[in-house]
Amino acid sequence: MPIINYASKEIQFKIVYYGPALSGKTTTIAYIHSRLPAAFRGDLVSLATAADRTLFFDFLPIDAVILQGFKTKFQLYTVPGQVVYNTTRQLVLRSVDGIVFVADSNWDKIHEDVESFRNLEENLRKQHLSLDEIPYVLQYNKRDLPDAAPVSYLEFLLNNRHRRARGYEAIATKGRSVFAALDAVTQSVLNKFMQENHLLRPQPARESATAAPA
Amino acid sequence: MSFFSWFRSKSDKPEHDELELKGSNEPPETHARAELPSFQSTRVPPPRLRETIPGGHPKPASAVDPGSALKEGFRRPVRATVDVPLQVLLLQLPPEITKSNIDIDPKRRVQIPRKSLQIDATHQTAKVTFATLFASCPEIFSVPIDPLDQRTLEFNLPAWERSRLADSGGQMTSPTATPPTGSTTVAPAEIQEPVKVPDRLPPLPAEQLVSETQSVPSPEKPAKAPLDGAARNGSEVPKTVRVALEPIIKNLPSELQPSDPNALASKPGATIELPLELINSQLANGRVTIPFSTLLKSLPEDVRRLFPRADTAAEVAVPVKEILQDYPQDLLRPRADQEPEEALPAIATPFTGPAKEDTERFAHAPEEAELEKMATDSHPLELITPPATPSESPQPIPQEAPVAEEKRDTAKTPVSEKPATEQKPAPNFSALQSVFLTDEPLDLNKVVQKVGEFPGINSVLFFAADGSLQGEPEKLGLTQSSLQLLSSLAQEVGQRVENLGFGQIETVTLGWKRELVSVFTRGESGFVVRHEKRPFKPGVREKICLVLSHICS
Repeated sequence: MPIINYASKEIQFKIVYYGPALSGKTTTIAYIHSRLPAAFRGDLVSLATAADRTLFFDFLPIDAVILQGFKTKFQLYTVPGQVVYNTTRQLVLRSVDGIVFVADSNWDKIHEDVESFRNLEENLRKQHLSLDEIPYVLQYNKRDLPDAAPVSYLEFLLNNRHRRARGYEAIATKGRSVFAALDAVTQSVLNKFMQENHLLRPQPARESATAAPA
Repeated sequence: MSFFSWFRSKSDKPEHDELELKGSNEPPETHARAELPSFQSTRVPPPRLRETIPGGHPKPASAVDPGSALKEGFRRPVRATVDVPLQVLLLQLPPEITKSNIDIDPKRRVQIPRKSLQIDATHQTAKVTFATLFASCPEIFSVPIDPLDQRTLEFNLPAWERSRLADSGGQMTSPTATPPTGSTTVAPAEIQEPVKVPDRLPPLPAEQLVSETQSVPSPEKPAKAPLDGAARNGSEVPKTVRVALEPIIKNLPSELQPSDPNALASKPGATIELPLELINSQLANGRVTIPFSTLLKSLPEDVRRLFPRADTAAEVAVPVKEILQDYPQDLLRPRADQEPEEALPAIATPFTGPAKEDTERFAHAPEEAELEKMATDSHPLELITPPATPSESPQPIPQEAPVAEEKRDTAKTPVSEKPATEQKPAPNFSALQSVFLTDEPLDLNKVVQKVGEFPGINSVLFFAADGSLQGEPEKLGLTQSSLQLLSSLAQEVGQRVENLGFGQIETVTLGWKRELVSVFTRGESGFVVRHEKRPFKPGVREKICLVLSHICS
């Protein structure tokens, strides 16, 4: 559920990067931070342990398009993937508008992918939400591993719900399909919001993130 | 009646709780309740707490209105074990193997792993092998049962399980239906495998789990289960999957390892056949395990003798990768009723532009891969060039091979304290901002400083091909001559390792009692890093390699 601030004419959407530990969620969000011009994005807040493991969450605010005179903002969050931090994951998932599930393509991590996906469903269920209602995409990360599991099997495991989700073969360290996945979920979120609120098509706030800042 | 005997009688007949409560303690029915419609006036007790606790006393099926749980939104969870009263089992066991004087409470319940049971949903019965029963409750047997004993014992499902089946609307009890492939018992004639009830099968929402595991497709309606692709095509579904033995043995815990590994080593490429049904129900979990007894069964007799038979109920992991080598790919199709992705009207977002750029960039991936082969640096990371600004024209991706040639030319330059940036054009350090996650302008000095701030790094020094240094040699505790020695040592080691065919070396690490010194080299430049005596923190090594390759290019 987006936060609408009528005073400042802003709509905030929350996108959460979910997935098992060490699947590349922080790397993904760091790549997004590095590619977007400073005019569009805020600071990347990362609360991590000394061993580069996400302790609480990563946070990246991004300005986006204009919807009916309202400036939209996207807040990107990651969750700690380690099993013990489930309460934190539940907190981060609150009021989520879109989800990018980052799956690890490593054979040894396949089971963790499945467990994490079930955990996502369970945590959403606790908040009376479901993946049937929330736009989400699947980011099959680490596709550059020499011994990566086939995408067909990952799809069989994770993309077998009644409504098929978009899946992207990604390499977060190189940036492959990182923005494609984010763009897809963003568009789904905006479309859903417009459908629910009977809004017209939005006008882009700026041409593109890659446009040269003045 | 004493309190003790009253308590015993209540424990024996839990269904009497409701009647007793209603008859004695409960207030008389109110008018409001009497006026309820007929289907509500029939008192259906809400699920009691102990019904929802795994291992609790199940309520007899007679006391449960089938489907009432569904009406109330309550669905009995699938338990990992099925609790069977010992008395039921004792009645079915052959007397020759049953202990005569059993000093056990016959009301005790035996927990049998669900996956070891062969459940007949139609008749609401289950079969369990003597071996499994012996593993769960050995004290009722007068003789030890061989783990490979295939004799089975049939018993009526306990009330909880019957009620759970009833929760599914009686779909599983359809006598004409055939179960989906994922849950069918297709055991080889000689080996009767227990049926796998696919309670763990779908990694999907609860409603789908119910529909796919409990509903039975009619012949004219294709099943929803994802594993029935071949059945839909009418092709022959193999009943077994051939799996390489070696990776399974490797994953065995030490207590289950064969007594003579050398005997198995002489059989590389040996495979075993596992029943498909055993695999199907677990494949959707991303992990497949089989009972150790099943592994033993599938082994030839001469190999089987090598394994201990202590813990035959232990679960043994079978690598999914190995299973999929021989697994019918047709069975890995998505579900038949899956709706395709929704086509949405395109909205330009700040991410659309970068997404297109990345797509174009990776469309030329093969060319990049060839360039990477030619280049001296083979690390997996890639620098992120920030978007072009009016004052800063985009830099073409440098090809490192010619640069390497250039570095060789400058190899004989005398050692001097001149900064490296004077010798050749300074690299575009702004591209390194993404590595350090910073917006501040960078130069070589700051880059070295930032590398020193990586977790676990105590001090760092950069040495260029012309002999110039950047950093604090004093803090590193090394003189210039010792640095040169380290550099040449790293190069020598790198060259020799490369000659051995291991490819280009990235790091040479020397260990002392307290600390480690690692030398990262690219040509004749590199970083000398003093760090804690433990492996680099995740990502640190890769980041240093990335920074170095950028500086050297």
